Amino acid sequence: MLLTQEIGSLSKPNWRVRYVRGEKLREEDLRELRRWAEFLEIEEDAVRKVESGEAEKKEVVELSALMAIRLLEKAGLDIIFDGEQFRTEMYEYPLKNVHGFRFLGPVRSFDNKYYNKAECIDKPRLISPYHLEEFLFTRRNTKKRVKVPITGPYTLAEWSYNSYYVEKYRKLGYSWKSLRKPAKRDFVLDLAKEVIRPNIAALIDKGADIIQIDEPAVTTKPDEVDIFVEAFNEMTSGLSCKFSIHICYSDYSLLLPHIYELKGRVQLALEFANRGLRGYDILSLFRDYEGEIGLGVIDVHTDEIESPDVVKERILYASKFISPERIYVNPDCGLRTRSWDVAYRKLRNMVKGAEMAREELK
Amino acid sequence: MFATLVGIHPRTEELVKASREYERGRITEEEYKTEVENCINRIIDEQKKLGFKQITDGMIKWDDIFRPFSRVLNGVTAGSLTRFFDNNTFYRKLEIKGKIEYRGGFLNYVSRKSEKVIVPGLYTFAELSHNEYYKEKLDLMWDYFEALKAISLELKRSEISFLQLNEPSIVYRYRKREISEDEIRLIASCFKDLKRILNTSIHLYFGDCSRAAHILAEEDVEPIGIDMIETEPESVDYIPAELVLGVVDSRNTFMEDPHQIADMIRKFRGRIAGISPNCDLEFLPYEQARRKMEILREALEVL
Repeated sequence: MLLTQEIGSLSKPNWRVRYVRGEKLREEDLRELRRWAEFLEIEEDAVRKVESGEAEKKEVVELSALMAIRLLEKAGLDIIFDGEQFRTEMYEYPLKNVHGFRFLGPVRSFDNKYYNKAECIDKPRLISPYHLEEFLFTRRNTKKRVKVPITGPYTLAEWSYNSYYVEKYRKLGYSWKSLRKPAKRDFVLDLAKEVIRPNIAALIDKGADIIQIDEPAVTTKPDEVDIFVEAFNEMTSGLSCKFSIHICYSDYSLLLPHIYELKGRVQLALEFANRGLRGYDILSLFRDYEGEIGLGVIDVHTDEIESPDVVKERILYASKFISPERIYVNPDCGLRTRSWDVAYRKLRNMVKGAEMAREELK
Repeated sequence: MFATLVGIHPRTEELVKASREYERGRITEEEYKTEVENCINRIIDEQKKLGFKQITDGMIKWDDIFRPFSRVLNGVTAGSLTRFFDNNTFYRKLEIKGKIEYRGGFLNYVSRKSEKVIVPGLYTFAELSHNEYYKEKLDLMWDYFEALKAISLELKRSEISFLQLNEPSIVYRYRKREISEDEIRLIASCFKDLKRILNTSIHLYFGDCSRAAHILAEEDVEPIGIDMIETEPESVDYIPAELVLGVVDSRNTFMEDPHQIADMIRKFRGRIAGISPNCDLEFLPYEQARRKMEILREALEVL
C-alpha cells in the first residue's frame, strides 16, 4: 500500500552538462561531483576519470545516470528510473529518433521554460527504439523495480505543428475548422502505431514490466480526449506490461467519461500538490475509476521542502476519495527544474510521509 | 490601414539560452539583462522596419500575461501553474486574497521605447484568477479597473500612447452565454474611462468573436481586435465599430498568402483600422513569428 515512485526527470548536474558540451569543468562543478559521489557512495575510479578529463562523454552520461539511480534509491523510493539522464528532455529527444519531423526553434511552455518545437512534414516512422539503452543501464544498476517513462503520442502531436496531415486535408478541400480534428486523429494514431508501440514492444522484449506513458497534453483540447484514449488502446493492445499514464497541470474533469474506455486497469499518475489541498477534491470524480492513482504530493516548481507531515496529510486527505490500496505516491511531475539537493530532500520527505500515512491507515 | 502586434512576442534564441544559463548560475545578472535589452531592441527594430504601428516591446519581461500584476498590485500573488486556454502554455493563476490596489512599479516591466502596452482586460483578469476576497466578481473587476487607471496615468506620463486590453475570456464565456449584461456594461464603461486617458483598444481571440464583438460594439467599445482565424468574416461584417483584424494564425506554421488576406479585407464591409496576428505570436518560434509579421506587411502592400 502507498508504494512510492518517481515520475521521471531529475536535473542534469552542471559537471555533466559542461563535460558533454566539451567545456572545461569549473571548481564548483568538481566540488559538486565529489560531494554527491561521496554521499551516494559512487566508485572512486569513475569520478576520477571525469575529474581528470579522461572520461568519454558516454561514460559521463552513465555516471550521472548511476548517481541519479543511487539518489532515488537512497531517498527510499520503491519504483525508480535514472532521472532521464540519457535524454535531453521529453519531446526533442524522442522526435530526434523519428523520421518526419523538422525542428523550428524554442517556444515557451511557462516562465523561462522553452522547448524546441518541431513541425511534422512527413508520415512519422520510428528510426530505432530510443529508450532501450537507458532502460538496460538502469536495470543493470538497481535491484529496485524500474518504471520507464515514455512520451505519449497525443503529447508529441499536440506539442508539434501538424503541417503534414493538415496539408493532406486541405488538398481534400476541407476548411480549417473541419479538418482540425481528423488531421489530429491521423497524426496521433500514426505516432501511436508507428512510433510508440514499437518502442514499448522493444522495452517489454528486454524485460520492462512497468511503462509510464507521459501525456501532459491530453486535456489541452477538450474535444480530443477521445483521440488520446483510442491511441492508447491501439498502441498497448496485446502487450503484457503494467501501464501508467502521467498527466499534469490539466483539468482532470475533462478526462471523464473517456478514461472508462481505457483498456486494462491503467494507473493515472496525476499532479495535485501544485494546487494546494483543495486540489485533491477533484479525486471525488475518480471514485468509480478502477485503476490506481499515482498521487502527486510534491510540488516540483518550488524549492520549499514539504515536510513528511504535509505529505502524510495530503495522502490522508486523498484517501477520503480513493481507497489507499489504489494509491501510489509520487511527485507532481519530474523534478528536473530543482537542484539535486532540493529533489533529494523532497523525495526523502515524500517517502517518510508515505510511511507515516501507511502507519496511520493500518 | 496599419499592422500591429497584439500580444507576447517569442524571445530570441539568444535570450532563451541566456535565461537557461542565468537560472543555472552560468552567466551573471548583468549578462542576462543585456540579452533581454538586445531582444527588446531587435523586436522593436523589426516592427519599425516593417512599418508596424503601435510599437510594443514584445512583453519580453513578462513571464505570462498576468505575472507583473502579482508584483505591482496589493492583494494579489502568483499561484499555481495553469493551462492558458487550449495551448501548451501555462500561466501562474493569480491568487486574490485582499483588496486590489496599485502599489507602483508597473513601468519596470515596460520598455520606454514602447508605444503600446498590452494588459489583461477586466473580464479575463477576473475570470482567470482565483478569487478568495471579493464576494462579487464585479467588485473585483472594478478594483482592477482602478489599478489600470493608475497604470494608464503612469504610462501617459512616460509618453506611451496606446493601451490594449486582451479579452480572450469574453469570447470563451460568450460562447457558453455565461457573461452577464452587468458585466458587459461595466467592461464598456470602464473601457471608455480608460480611453479618456490613453488610446485604448480591446482584443478578442481564441474563438469565434462575432457575438462578443457585436455586443461590445453596441456599447460603443472600439477599436475591437478580432481573431479572424476562428471567426467567419461574414459574421463580423457590418459591426458598427472600428476593427483590427487578426488575419495571421499565431498558433500555426502555415504561412498565409498575403493576396488572400488582401482579398478578404477588400470584401469586408466593416471599418478596418488595421491588421494583426490573431493572438500572441509567442506560440511560434522567433523566425516563424517574424515571417508572419512580413506577411502582414506584404498584405498591406498588396492593398
